[in-house]
Amino acid sequence: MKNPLLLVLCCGVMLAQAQTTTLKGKVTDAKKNGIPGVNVLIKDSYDGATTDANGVFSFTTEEKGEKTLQASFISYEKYEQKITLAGGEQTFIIALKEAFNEMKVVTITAGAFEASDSKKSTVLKALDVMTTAGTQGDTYGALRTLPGAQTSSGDQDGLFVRGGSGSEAQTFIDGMLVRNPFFSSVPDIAQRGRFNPFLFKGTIFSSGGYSAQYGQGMSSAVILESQDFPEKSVTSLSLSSVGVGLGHYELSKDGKTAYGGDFNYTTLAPYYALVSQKFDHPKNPVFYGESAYFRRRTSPTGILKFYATASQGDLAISSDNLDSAGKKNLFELANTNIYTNFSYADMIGGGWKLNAGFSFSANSDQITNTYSYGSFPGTFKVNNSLTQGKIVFSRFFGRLSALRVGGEFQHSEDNIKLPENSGFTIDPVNDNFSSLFAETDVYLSSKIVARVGLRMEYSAFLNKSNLAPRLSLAYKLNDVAQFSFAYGDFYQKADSLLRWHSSGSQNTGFQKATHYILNYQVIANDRIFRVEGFYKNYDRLVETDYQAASYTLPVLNNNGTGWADGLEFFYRDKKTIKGMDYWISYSYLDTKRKYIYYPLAAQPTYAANHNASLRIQKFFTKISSSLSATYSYASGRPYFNPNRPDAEFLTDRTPDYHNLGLSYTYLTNFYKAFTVLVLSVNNVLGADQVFGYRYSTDGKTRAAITPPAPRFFFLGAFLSWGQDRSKEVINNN
Amino acid sequence: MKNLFFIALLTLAFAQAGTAQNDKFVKTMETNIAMMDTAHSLEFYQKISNNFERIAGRETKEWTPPYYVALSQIQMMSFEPDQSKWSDLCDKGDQFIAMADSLSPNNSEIYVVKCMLAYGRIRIDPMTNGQKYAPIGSQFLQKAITLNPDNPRAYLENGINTFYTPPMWGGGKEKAEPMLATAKEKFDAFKPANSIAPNWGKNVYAFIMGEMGK
Repeated sequence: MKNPLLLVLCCGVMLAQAQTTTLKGKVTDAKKNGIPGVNVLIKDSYDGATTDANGVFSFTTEEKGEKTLQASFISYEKYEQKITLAGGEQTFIIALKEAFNEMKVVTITAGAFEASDSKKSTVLKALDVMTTAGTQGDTYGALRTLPGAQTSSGDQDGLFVRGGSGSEAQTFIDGMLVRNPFFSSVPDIAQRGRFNPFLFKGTIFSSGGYSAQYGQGMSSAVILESQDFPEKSVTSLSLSSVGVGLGHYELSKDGKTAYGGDFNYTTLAPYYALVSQKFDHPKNPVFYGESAYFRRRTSPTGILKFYATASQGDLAISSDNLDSAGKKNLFELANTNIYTNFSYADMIGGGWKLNAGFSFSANSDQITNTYSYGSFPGTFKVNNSLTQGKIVFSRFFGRLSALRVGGEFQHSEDNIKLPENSGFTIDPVNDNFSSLFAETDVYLSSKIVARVGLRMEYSAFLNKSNLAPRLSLAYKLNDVAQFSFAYGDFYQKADSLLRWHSSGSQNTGFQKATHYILNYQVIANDRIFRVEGFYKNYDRLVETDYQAASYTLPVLNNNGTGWADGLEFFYRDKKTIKGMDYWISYSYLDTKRKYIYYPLAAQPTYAANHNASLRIQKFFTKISSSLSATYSYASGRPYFNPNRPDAEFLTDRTPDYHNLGLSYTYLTNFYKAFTVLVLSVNNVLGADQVFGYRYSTDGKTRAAITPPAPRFFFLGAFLSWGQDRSKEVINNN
Repeated sequence: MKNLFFIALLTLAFAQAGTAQNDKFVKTMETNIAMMDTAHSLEFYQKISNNFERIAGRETKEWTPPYYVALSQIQMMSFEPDQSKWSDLCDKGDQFIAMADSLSPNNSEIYVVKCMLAYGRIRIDPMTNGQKYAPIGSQFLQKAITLNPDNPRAYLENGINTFYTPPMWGGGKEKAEPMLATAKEKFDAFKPANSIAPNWGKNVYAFIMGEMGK
C-alpha cells in the first residue's frame, strides 16, 4: 500500500460504510396523540424502530443518499416520505391518517337492519335470526322482535311494518321477488315463512327507505342472500315433534362444485294427539318438501347458484258455525308450491360486476269450505305463477363509491276460480311488469355518504308506469355515532286478492307510499343503541265503492289515503353480563288509513300502537348449552265490530298481547354427528292472546280469534355428519 | 498491476458487502427468532413483528420473514386484551402467511400457521365462525401433515386444538394426549433445515402439558 490515493480510497469506502444518520421523532394520530407500536423504517433496509408507549422512535442507519422513510401500523394508512441521509441527526413528526376501515366508515342505517357474518358493522349475526326463542327458526319470527315490525301478526300471515299491511312487505332472494314467502293462509292461524333460515348467509330487514334495486313493497323489503359454498360435504338428519328431514350436500374434490338435496316430512298428527287443539282436524296437517341445490365456482370470482324447492300440503279444519249452533264450518286446503332460483355473478372486466338471475315459481291452492260468513261455499282454486329475470351491473369507484344499474322483467299469472254455484267468474290476470333502476353510493369522505337512486316501473296490465326516486344520506359524527336519513317513493300494484271481492282491477293504478326516516346509531364496546323516527304518507290506495249490504262486486278506485308516523328504539348489549346477550326494542306507531272497504280513515286491524320485545340469550359454554328467552308485547289492536255504526268503524281494541317464548339449545356429539338439541315453548305463561273476534251474520254472537292452543311445544334434534376426513388422517399418522 | 490490485480490492469490498448482506440477513433473523422465544408481552411481540416486517420488505425472496410476521400476529392475540383488535391481527396474519406461501408453496410449516390463523378466527366469535373455520383449520392441518409427516408443530397444533375442544364435539384431554405424545416424539427427532427455519414449539408443548396436568 504505497499508493496514498488507494489508502484514501479504501478508508473512504470504510468511512462511507460506517457513516451513520440518527433518525428520531414521534408518530401521532390526527389528534396529536402518540401511537405506540408503529413500524418506522427506511424502505428496503433493515433499519428502523418500533415507537414506544408515547409514539416516540429513534434509530440509526448506515444507509445514505435518497431514501424513503416509512411508517406503518394496523388500521392506519401507510406513511411515506422522501428523505436524504447524510449523517447527523434528523427529527420527524409523522401524523398517520386512519385507514378506511369498515368499522370506521359511515354506513346507511336509516330503515335498515342487517344480519351478516361477513360484515363487521352489522347489528345482527346470521345466527341471531335462527336462535330467537319462540319462533322455531322462522326468519320472520326473528324479524318481528326488531323495531318497526308488529311483534305479533295475530291471525294474519306476513310481516306488518310501520302501519303497512302484510302484502306491503316483500321478500327477495338473491335480488329476486318471492311471490309466496309464507305457507298458504288458513283462517285464524298465522302461517310461517317457507324458507329455512340456514339457507341464507345474510338478511337485511328494511323497515323503509330501501334501495332502488327493489320495488313493489310499500312498507318493507326482506332481502335474503343465499349461502355460497359449504366448507365440506355434509349429511344431515332432523327428527322433531313435528316430522323428519334428511339431506345431503356434496362438495367436489376440487372444491368448485357443490350439489345436494333434502327431503322433509312434517305431520302434526302425533302432536295434536298429545296436545289438545281448539279446532277439530278432520285431516291433520301434512307437508312434504323437496329441495335441490347446485353451486359452481365458474372462475376465481364467478359463482353460479341454483336452488329449487317444491312442497305439498294438505289439511282440514273444522270450527263452530256461529250462525247455527251445533253446525261446523269445514275448511280444507291442498297446496302445491314450486320455487326455483338461478343466479350468476362474476367480474366482467373494466371493473364491472355482473349479477344475473332467473326465477320461476308457482303456487296452487285448492280450498273447500262449507258456508261461512263472507265467503261462498264450495271449492275455490287459486293459482299464481311468477317468471322473472333480473340483471344488475355494478362498479366500484375509488375505494367505496359504487354505481349500480339494472333491470328486471316479471311475467305473472293469477287465476282464481270461484265455486260454480257462486255465479261469478273472475278473469285471469296476466301482467308483464318491467323495471329499470340506477343507483349510486357516493362517499364524499369516510364520514359522509349519499345513496341516490331512481327506479322506473311499468305494468302492461295496468298500462301505467311510475318513477320512484330514492335518497339516503349518512353522516358519521365520530368513531361510534352516526346520523342517517332516508327518503323515497315506493309504488305497488293492488293486492291480487282484492279481486276476490271486486271487479275492474285493471282500471286501478299503482299505489304509492312516501317515506321519510331519520336514524341515529351508536355502536361501541359490543353495545348498540339506535333510535329512529319516521313519517310515511300513503296515496292512491286501492279502495272499493263501499256498500255494506251489496252482493254485486264493488268497483275499485285509487282514492284511498293514509299515513303513519312513529318513533322506535333498539338497544343491544353483549358485554355488561359475561356470556349474556340481550336486546330490547320498542316501537311507537300512530297510523290511519282509508282504503279497501273502510268507510273512513281508521287505524287498521293489524296495527298496534305500542310494540316491544326483549330477547335474552345466555351461553353456558361449559355444558355446551344456551338458554334464550323472548318476551313480546303489543298493545290492543283494532277489530271489526259489525254492531258499530260507520262512524265508529274499528274503534274497538283487543286486549294487550303478551308472549314469553323459551328455548333451550344443547350442542353435543352423537354417533360422530354434530348434534343440536332444541326444546322450545311458545307462550310459556299461557297468556290469553286475542287477535280479534269473528261475528255471526246477525252480529249477536261472537267468538274470540285465539291461537289454536295456548302454547306450542317443540322438541327437535338436528344431526349433521361432516365428511371432513382430516381428523382421521391426522389420527392415523 | 496497480490497477489490477485496485480492481481486486474493489471486488473484494463488494463481495464482502454481498456476503455481509447475506450474513446480516441470517444474523438478524437469528437474533429476532431468539427474541421471539423469550417474548412475553404485546409490546415485545409488536416490536419483533415489526422487525420481521422490515426484513420482509428488504428480502422479498425469503419466506421466513413473512412467516414469522404471521406467527407474531397470532401470538399477539393471546396478549391483546381488546378483542375488537383480534380481527385486524388475523387479517394481517393472513396477508403475511399468503406472502410466505407464494414464496414457498407447499410448505408444511406455513400450513401450520394457516391453521392457527383459522382457529384464531374461531376465538374471535366461536358461535359465528366455528362452523366455517373449524373445517378450514383441519384441512390446513391435514395438508401440513401430508407435506411433512415429521413436522412436530402440526401434531402440537392438533393436540392443542383437540384439548380445547369440548369432549362432546370430539375433543378433550384423552384424545389430545396421544396427539401430544406424537408431537413429543417428533420434536425429539426434529432437525431444522437451518438456523432460521421454524424450530419453535417445545415451550408451548411444555405449557400445554402443564395445562393438561391441572
